[in-house]
Amino acid sequence: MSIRERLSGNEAAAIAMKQINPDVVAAFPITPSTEIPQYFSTFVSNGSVDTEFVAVESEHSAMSACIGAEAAGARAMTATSANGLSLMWEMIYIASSLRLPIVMSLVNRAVSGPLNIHNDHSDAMGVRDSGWIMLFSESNQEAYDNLLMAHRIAENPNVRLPLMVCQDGFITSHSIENIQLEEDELVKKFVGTYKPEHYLLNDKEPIAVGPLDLQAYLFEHKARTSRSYEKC
Amino acid sequence: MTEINSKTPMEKLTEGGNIYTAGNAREFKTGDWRSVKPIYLSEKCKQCGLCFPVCPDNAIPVNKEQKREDFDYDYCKGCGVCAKVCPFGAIIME
Repeated sequence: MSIRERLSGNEAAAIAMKQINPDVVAAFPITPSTEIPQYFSTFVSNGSVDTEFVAVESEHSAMSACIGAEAAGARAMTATSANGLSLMWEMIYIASSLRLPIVMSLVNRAVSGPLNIHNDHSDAMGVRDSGWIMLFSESNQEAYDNLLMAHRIAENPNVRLPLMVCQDGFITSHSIENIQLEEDELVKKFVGTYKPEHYLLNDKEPIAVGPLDLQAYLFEHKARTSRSYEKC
Repeated sequence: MTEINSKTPMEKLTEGGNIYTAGNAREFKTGDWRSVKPIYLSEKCKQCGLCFPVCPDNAIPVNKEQKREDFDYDYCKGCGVCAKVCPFGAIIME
């Protein structure tokens, strides 16, 4: 039985992350997504999730920590906005080219300048061609539902790509709407546990992640990434 | 992993180019990077053992009798560190 609630978009995203209960969350606060890691760190403190929360010193480090965690075999999530995503940019490409199904909650905001903290999609469009799957949410309900679906899509063996769930800064992130939440147990069952085929902490199979990929191979790997979209 | 080469179609490549076997550095022969070549003069060599620990690769083989043998040119990049440390002039670069 769904639960009737009224939540802001950021609250909805944070609650979805709580129900997903990922292994690692590494995030740095930036308006308008600040509340997502803020609420989530409360869930970590009061023990309603058993996630390792990494309070990094920048978004570049947030994405780097997610890449390391995901390559190690963990389920990693983050949240950011605008210039935060710009600072992640270098690592965004590494996440997708290494085929790591990291899930990000992106609260869209105009990339400065002139300085503006409100919504446009210039941040997401800046990483449009990076190989991330992008789901855009029109309402708080969609921001919540898309996050629940995110891991199932990203971790599908035919897909294996990172995914960002986008919602509009302030327009949904700070507006309270009626919303239907799913039961914790149901979400847990739907999202399932992450069982990657190859991962760094598997002592039975030593692997190398991210080796040199020169002329003969780079475009083959890019083309394969591109083909994976068709399987979404 | 060894069956992957530049003619391998993309469907047969690993995701992200990941390598799922260990100990494959020896398949990557780096000897052709060399622009100068060390020559081992065995008659001058006293087997003091100073050269092989400084080799940044593993291009100076040491046998079971703890004696060095001639260079493994498949991996020697010609850096010349061994020639620099040899006190007896038993390694010359040319």
